[in-house]
Amino acid sequence: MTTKILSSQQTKTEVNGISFSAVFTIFTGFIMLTALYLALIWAPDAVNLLTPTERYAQRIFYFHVPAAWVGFLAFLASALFSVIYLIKRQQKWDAMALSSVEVGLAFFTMVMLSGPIWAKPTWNVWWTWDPRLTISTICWLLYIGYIMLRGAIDNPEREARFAAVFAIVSSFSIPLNWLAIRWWRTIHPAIVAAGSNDGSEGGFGMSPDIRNTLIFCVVAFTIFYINLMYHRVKLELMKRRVELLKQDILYQ
Amino acid sequence: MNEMIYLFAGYAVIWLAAFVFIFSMVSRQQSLQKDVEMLEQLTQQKQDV
Amino acid sequence: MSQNLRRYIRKIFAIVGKDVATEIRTKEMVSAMFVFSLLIIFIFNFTFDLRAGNVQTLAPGVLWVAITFAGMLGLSRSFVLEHDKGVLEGLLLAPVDRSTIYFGKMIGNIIFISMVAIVVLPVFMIVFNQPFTHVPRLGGIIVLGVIGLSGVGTLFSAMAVHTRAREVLLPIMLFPVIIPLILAAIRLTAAVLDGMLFADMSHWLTILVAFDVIFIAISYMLFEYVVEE
Repeated sequence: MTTKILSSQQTKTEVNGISFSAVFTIFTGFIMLTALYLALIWAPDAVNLLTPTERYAQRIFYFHVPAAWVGFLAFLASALFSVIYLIKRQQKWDAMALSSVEVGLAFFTMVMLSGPIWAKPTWNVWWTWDPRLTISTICWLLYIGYIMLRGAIDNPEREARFAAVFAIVSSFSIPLNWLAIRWWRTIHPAIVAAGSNDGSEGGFGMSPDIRNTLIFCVVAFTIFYINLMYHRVKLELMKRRVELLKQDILYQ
Repeated sequence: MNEMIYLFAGYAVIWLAAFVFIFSMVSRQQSLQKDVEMLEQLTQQKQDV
Repeated sequence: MSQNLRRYIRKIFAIVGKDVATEIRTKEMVSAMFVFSLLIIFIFNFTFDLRAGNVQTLAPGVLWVAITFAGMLGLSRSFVLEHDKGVLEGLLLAPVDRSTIYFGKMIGNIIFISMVAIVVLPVFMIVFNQPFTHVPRLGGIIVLGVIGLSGVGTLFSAMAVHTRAREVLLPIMLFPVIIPLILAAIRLTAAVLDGMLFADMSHWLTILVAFDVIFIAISYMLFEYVVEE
């Protein structure tokens, strides 16, 4: 009986899944490599930056900004999945919320690592307590708190419930954190608000090609996020199924 | 070349983070696969008995 | 005031009364929090070597670190009795709405933490040489801050008590969430100590009040998901 469940599920994912999943993954890889090409080679230099070191380092932003975008998107998504989970109480929504947080954590780690590497040649310090850096750090800490909370609860149903509550509460704290920290002080260049960059150090004008490259990279990272989510959710659901079977077979 | 060191380091850490995450998923998948195989063996034995 | 609302409030205060009565008998939590916050003030005095020159910039931070850390201490104990002695089951069996439990526990926490803060405040004013005329306004800011801290802290405390790490996990969950509250409270405290006009700081007051309202509303809605079972 159990073998039948196992093998039938396996063939199902292999017949429908592998082909779609493989195509999707190869497509994502292709898009990411294109983004890499655009960011490193195709995009023009930012004209108003003085030293070559600064001009090269500026190219980090083509991957840094999309990674931050995906990080926030993942957080928002996990809050939404958590709300749906609390209403519908279906495992898959909890699996999606957890996956979104994990993927978001990976992207935020990229942001946290690449940010200082850009800041060093541009601002001549690795770290400043600038609002965007600070808010990214807080998000990163919230994600870690979420993972730690899940790790500290034994009952799986309670784990899902508490994690959902925490994800929702923390998603509300992000905008307030953002506002409060922004008023505290700022030096990060406001790249998105084009035209008004001269005030903040390290800012640069957005020529059309620079903007197009950035837009392509944001789209590429979003596809990357969806692809990672797809695999992570599949893995999580499979893990839970195996867990159930294990209990079924071992403690029968 | 020296001017590109930050650029190189920036992209290196970004891809490193991505691959660490992907490899963690792969390793979890593999351990899951092992569990499934073990369960299959167990049920096989039970059926044989 | 309608009959139902009056009954609802009476139920809330029955729970508050239970907590206050327990606390009056043991005096465990409030005294521990009080001593702890005094210790924080003294430790800061030594670590930063506070003098007349820098006290104005550092004092607000010292006060709020003392209050939030002491509050954390109290909040982490808030549901321990409920969990260990089966009080929560009793409360859940009682014919009351789940939200009354949340509001009851929250008001209890507000009372305990504010009490500690209000007692610590004069000590703070004396050791940092601040004029006592600031006390009423500082008291107002403290109460607003403590309301927000307890609002979300009560929800998280009810969650943390069910985890393996317990006291360890509460600050990890709570601190990132209450950062806007701490920032606003520190800026407002600094404004009062510097004798600034409140009108210049009204945006911080807005954040503080908004934090209180938003997080009490969310916690109120989510609390039933935490205590169900």
